[in-house]
Amino acid sequence: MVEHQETGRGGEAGLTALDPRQKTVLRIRAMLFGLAPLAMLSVADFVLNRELGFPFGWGISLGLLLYIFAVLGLPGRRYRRWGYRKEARAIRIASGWLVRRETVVPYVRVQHIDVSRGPIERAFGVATLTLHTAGSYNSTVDLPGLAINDANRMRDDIREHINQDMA
Amino acid sequence: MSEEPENWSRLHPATLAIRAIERLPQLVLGLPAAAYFIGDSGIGVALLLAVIGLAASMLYAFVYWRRFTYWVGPEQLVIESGIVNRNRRTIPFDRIQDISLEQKLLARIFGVSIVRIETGSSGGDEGELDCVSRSEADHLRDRIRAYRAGNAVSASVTDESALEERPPLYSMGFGRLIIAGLFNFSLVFLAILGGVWQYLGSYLPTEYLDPSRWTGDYRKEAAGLISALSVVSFAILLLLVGIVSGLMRTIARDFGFRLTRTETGLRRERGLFTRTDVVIPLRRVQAGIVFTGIIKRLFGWHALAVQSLGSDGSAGTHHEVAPLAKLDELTPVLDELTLPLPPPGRDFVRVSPKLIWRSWTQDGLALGIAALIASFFWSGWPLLLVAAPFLLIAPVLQFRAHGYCFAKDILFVRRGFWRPRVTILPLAKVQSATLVRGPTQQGFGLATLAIGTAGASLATPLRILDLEEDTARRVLGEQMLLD
Repeated sequence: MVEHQETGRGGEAGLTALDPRQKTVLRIRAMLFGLAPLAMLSVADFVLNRELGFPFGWGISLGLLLYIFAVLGLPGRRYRRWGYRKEARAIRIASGWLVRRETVVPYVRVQHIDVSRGPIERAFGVATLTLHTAGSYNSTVDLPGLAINDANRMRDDIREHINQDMA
Repeated sequence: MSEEPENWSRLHPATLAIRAIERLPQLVLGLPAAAYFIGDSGIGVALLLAVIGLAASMLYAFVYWRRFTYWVGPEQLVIESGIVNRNRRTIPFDRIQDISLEQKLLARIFGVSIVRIETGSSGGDEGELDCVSRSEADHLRDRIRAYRAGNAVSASVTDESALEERPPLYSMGFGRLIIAGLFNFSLVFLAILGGVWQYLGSYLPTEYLDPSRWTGDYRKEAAGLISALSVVSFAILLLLVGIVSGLMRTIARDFGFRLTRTETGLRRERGLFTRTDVVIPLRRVQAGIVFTGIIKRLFGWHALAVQSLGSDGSAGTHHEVAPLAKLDELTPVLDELTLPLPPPGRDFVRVSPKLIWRSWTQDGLALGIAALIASFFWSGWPLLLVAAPFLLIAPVLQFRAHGYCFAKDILFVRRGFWRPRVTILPLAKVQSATLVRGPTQQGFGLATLAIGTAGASLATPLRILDLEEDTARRVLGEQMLLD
């Protein structure tokens, strides 16, 4: 069992924070995925300037501001909102910066469990635990940013819960 | 595969006739398009091409029919199909969740039926026999049902006939059908007319439809008359079209509606032209939904649908099991589903009245932004403000219609002012629950509780909107899942 670190601010009391390496994962992802909107805004800027005579620089500076916020400001905020707690019969997962969500999935309702790791996650030794439920809303519930050993242990724990309930 | 059976069956030969007749309308509708592409070479060539096309597709249908065989074994159904790539599918009776029969108008004339078999693996139809004779379809279903009931195949026939004798749980007489039709006022016909117009418009002599041809020299005298009379008569016409099309749709869909109990589920038969016969297994039912309309409710009419894991064709996973009924007529149906009737309105707990303020804030902001953007390039932007009164009233009505109620292990949620509906959800069927707090809600200290249930439509999950945050947390923690 990983030691329980309380989330400092935000989040709900008594939630376990994600692995700190997840913050870096979020940041690298933001760097990569932010490139597309940045490029689009730059092109739009260029086109609007050439074809319609808009003042040059609006789109690019807006894009850069957003990009800097997405890479420097957002990952930390999002990371702090993430948290989870294993209750006796259910797992509770909180997330979300602008829209905050707190999901409770009873172990009995878990259909199957995935532990997945993308290339960035693999480089930093973290993994995403995905719970599948039969519901059409929340059919998959993700818990990213677990150290790989914790993710595997949680998967085994939940599987054990499912087996006990079936018995 | 235990033994290679001798008695492979083919689909009913009428299938081919039905295919041919079904393709005729496509042919007729395709002609103008074909003529257009061919250009000047005339209708004769287009006709020839179309006939060749029909012949080719019939040849394909025939070969497919020759190569499609099935075999009903003692405990499995085997289907072999495919012209070049042969596919052999074995469906054990154990795995069959749902068998439904469907007869379109043509199929009824030929006395055949489509059999759909669902195993609940990935959704959709896992096996389809299109078409077999009605007696064969009934025989197949009886056989599978008997197997699943654990009886020997031979012993099942008597049980089956005994079951059929039971009175239906719910049925619709013709009078009831007419009432239902009157409530189903719809203007869908106008849309269809519009579509036909779009397609055929260019082939019609438009000068007849040009008003100036009719008014001509009398224009001045006519203008005054038209403005008053035509508005009234147009409104009456619309009303009539709405009523008639509502009646026709309802009669076509719900004619001869019968709901009966089988040993594993509810069996629904309905339809005038296309007759469907669906069994909804009881253990796949997730929730019940009692819905009505704002006028229907005044007369005490309600409808009942069940949310099930099976699929109901285009209707998604909601099976309507009683289209128009008084509440006490719903009781026997709900009893079979082991669901209670919704409690009276006063037993429901209202959500936080801040819902109204939260909606006003959000809608006001949205309207303001829309007006601001529009004002840059549209001089008529103040027209947008016409929406304001509706946005003011709507949240109040929504708040008054919304509420929830816990009774033992059942959650009731009611919603909707125009179309009030109560969802009856056993807590055992709750798959997950989420508290969602958007930015505005965080400002007001509100939270929406979204409940994941199996078989619900993704667009409208079950939600209890805008609870006070601590109430929401208590409901989530104590009543929904963790007790």
